[in-house]
Amino acid sequence: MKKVELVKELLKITFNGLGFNMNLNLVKSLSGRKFVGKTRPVYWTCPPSFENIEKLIEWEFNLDKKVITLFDKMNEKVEVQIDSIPGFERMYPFQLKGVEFLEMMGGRALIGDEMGLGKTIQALGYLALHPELRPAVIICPASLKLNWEKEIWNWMQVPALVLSGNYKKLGFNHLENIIVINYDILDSWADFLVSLNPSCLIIDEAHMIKNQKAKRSKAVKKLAKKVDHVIGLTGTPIINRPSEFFAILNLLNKNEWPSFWGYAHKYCGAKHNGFGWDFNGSSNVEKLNEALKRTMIRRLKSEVLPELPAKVRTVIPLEITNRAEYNKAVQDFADLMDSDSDDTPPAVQLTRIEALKQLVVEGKIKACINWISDFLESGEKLVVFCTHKKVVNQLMDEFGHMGVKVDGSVKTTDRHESVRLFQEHPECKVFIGNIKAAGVGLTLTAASSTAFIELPWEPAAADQAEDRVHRIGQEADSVNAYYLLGQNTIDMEIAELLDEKRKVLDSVLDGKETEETGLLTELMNRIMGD
Amino acid sequence: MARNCFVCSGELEIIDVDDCSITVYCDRCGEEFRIEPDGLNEGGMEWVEAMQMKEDGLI
Repeated sequence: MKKVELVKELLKITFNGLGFNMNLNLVKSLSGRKFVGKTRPVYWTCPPSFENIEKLIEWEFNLDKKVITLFDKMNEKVEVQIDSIPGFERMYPFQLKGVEFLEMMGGRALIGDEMGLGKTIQALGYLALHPELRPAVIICPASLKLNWEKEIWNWMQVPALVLSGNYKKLGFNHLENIIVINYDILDSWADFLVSLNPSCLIIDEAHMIKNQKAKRSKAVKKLAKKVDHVIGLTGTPIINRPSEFFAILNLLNKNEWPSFWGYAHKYCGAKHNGFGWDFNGSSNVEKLNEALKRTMIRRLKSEVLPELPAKVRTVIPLEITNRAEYNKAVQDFADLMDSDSDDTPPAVQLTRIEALKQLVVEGKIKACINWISDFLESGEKLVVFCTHKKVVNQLMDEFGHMGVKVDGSVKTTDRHESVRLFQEHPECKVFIGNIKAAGVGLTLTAASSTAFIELPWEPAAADQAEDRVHRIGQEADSVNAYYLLGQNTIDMEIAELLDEKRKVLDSVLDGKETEETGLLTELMNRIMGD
Repeated sequence: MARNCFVCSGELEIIDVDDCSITVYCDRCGEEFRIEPDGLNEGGMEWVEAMQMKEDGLI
């Protein structure tokens, strides 16, 4: 007798007689199996995952009707087709497919697309498709909170409730809201968020809950427990470091990914090194890929290239830490401008603008470092552009162990060595350079993303810097340019002006550029509110 | 000027400037460098002065 039944959402496995020992060894290899020896006959249980049922069929166990129906259901792919989502008509077809996948999985899945393919938009598309799933909670790294707020507003035209600091009582109704919170403070807000009974949870950079014992992972688990719709987002390839993904996979689909022990032994190249188990490797990669298809959708840039534009520019708004000081400096600036005569030299105005720019950099540098660290988690390389040596050095202090710089003081021969290292060495992940000094003539095609921390005053300088990561001569390429800007600061004004200039330049065939002083004047007018 | 040539320690002369950089030239070895506005290690004031000089057509 070798039979399998479905009892209380678990597979109940009973066997005896001929081949008992062989069957015992087979059943012991099932993921999440448990022995129940109190009753007679004794039996084993395990989660009704696709993989477990598949194995039991292979071992010629007799499955009862309920198990067969469940397995057929798992096999049957219910294709979902969404024609369009109101407000999301600008979505690329592959992004719409991502939303269809979420829909097909009943809103419990992982989007593992490569960086820059718009995982945020796909998650928001799902929320727009289901306005009944509120409140929805989005958990993300602190450096991405304002970006989520911006994207929610851009795509859905609703204000998000962005939580910051430790828990404090909020004096209004949040039930209709989309709430954005960062991992670091989640523990403090977890009880409050649970009390709201959220209908949907989006976990951005989901690999951040890799350590199951960490406070943040426990808080995410606590919150996810009673939520039916949980969407994970990550650009980090699971295949390279499978052990880091068990927590999120288990959270999304307990039946498919029931036990770390089984998962680690199967996919993490488990090795006993004499002191303990090492799960940092990977094994059975093809099987893992196959199994992941039941939980995750992942597309690479190269796969969806024809759908992508050559350049995707994204503004990442960051909160500055010296807001009071910055506001005071803007006020002083306005007072000085009021008292200026018409012949105040441009250099004086320039000095003042520079002082504001430097204050913004000081205030956002920590957030920039966090954003870059989060980006690098994806395993991709990144080219970072800034203007000042001070900023280059600050970044090198942080990323010097995994990056190179090209600033003005680096000799030509050394520049080539830096470029070669970045292009060829797999562990060299960051290139840091001055927009002009490193923005022209160097080929940095090992990366397909750039990040700007300080901005030039001419669009051409930014364009040229962006083009360092373009593969010359290859039209089929798409690069991402991230602009890390201080929220509500002069950064935003400069970026808007650059964009306006770009549009003018693009529309004029012989594209004669506006004078640099033109931008300075426009900037002054903007700050003065003209 | 606070900074000497990165190759031969000769004296550097500012020959051009823009919003993000200063171009300096070493008369002794003939090397040219494009450096950051604060690349002369004096807090960036040389850059402001150079921008003014460029505005006045002096460089």
